[in-house]
Amino acid sequence: MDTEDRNKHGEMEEALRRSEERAAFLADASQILASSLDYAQTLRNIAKLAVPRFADWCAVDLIDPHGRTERVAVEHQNPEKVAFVYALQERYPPDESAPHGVPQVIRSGEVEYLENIPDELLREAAQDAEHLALIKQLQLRSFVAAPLSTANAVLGALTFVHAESGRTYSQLDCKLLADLARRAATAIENSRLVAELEDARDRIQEQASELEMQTEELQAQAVHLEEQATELERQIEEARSVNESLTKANEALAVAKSAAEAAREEANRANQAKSQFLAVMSHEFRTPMNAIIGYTDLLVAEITGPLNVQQKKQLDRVRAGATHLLGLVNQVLSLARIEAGGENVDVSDVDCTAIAAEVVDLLSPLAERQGLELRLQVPDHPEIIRTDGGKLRQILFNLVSNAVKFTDQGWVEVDLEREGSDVIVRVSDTGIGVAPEHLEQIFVPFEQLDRDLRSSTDGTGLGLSVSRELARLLGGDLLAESEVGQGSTFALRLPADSPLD
Amino acid sequence: MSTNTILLVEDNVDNAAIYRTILEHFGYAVLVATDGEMGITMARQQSPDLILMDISIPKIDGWEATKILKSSEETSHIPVIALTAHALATDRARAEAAGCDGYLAKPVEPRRVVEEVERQLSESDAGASGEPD
Repeated sequence: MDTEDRNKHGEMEEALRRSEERAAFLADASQILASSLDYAQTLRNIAKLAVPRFADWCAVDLIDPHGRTERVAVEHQNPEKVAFVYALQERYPPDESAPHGVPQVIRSGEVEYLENIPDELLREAAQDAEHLALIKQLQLRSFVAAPLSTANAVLGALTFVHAESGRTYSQLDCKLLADLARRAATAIENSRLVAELEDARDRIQEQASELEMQTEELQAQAVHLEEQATELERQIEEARSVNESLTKANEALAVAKSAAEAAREEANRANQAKSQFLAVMSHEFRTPMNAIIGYTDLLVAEITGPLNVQQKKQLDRVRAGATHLLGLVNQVLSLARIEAGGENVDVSDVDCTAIAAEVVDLLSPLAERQGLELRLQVPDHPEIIRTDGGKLRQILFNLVSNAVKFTDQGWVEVDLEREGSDVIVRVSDTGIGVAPEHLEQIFVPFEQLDRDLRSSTDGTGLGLSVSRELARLLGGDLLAESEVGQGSTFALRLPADSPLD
Repeated sequence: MSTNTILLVEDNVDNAAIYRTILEHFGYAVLVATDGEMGITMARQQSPDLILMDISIPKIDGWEATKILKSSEETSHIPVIALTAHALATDRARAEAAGCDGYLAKPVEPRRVVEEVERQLSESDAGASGEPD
């Protein structure tokens, strides 16, 4: 083999080696591109893979969502040099409108390849002398800048540079790197699409779960609404039935009311008629009573001739009977008048003390005849109230004469005292008394208790009824306290100021 | 002392008999009229010293008869005692309004009638004694 052959053979071996290197690099890069969907990281890995095998320097630039070019990776075996490049970049920010390099590649979407980087290019790129000196320190020799381009857009650029190693890129290298960049761009787009898809999937899932949640909520609301509707329906039904029963009740009430009104009117009419009847009857009674009492008086007075003792006794009985009957007639008349509302009340300043004393004086002879003590307990001053004196006298006369009639032995006491704005007159006795359960009954007309027990007395059975009616007519009341065998107390309460004034 | 004459206007025979008897017993001359008209006529003709006037009488009632007597010059000086069976509080007021000098509610004891007659006559005498004969 001659030298030329040997040289030729060496070149061929070199080309073969380089071709194998390229193939291995491409295979490794393909594996990296397929391995991850994090494309920034993927590109950094490609850059690492390229250095130093396929480049002294490798840089990755990407266009961020705002359209700015961002350098996401700079690789070199020496980290100090990497730091140097970053510092240089910091100091002299790249001009995005520069006619060469990454900006141009990104703008045009075309590969830029220089087997040998000329000095004037470096001078153009430098912003001042110092910048140029610093760039020159990097000993940049040969470079390929390939766009990361897809059918639709340029996503960034991959830049491979040979420097201090003295290597240069061939056309073949350039093709390979452009191809790699294309694949990388496709991978980026894929991963972006995947990310978008994942995003979309996540969003859809989120929306789905939200929808599911909303659906559940809606279902819950629907159930709740249904429950409410049912409850409402039930309430409406209930209200309707309540309404119906109310209407019925109202109708019944109206019927009952008109019946009650009719009954009340009827009762009023009947009561009026009864009172009218009693008044007329009482009046009609008085005329013959007048004759009986009158003739009896004439006979007793012996005007028409002398009487023997027996005749006198019998006439006394006639007179007593007639007087009793007259009392009865008077009480009936009184009651009838009060019930018919025809009783007039004549209010004036009345001294209760004086009236009580008068009544006691008037009935003392009767009490004495029965061997009873009739006591009077009144203040030593006049007790003046606004009331009807005649009616007060009538009430006290009834109470005291009743007490005297129903007391066989002991005493009857009238006491008077002021209680707030009322005057209370109590008539107490040591008589036969009344059982507590019968206390209200004795105020009912003609309801005398134990008729056998009282057959000896001459009470009319109307005095208490009349007295209570009169007391109420005067704005007061008449109450009884008693026990059988313990005597009775009748308490008349009258207001000091007449409500009828 | 001359006998006083009482005119009793009363339609009830019993009452008339009772009051006539007791009044005559106490020395009065008694005239009886049985209705209002007759009462007025007799009062004018006989000039009684006092009239006992029942209220419930035929033709002209006691209130009306009293009013007529009290409004006439020849009879207005005669005392009138009303006799009523009503015994209502309003009766007393009505008696006064009609011009009655006294008022008795029936039934009234005969002696009570005599008492009231004596009282009215003594009042009437006292009034008359001041006047020249």
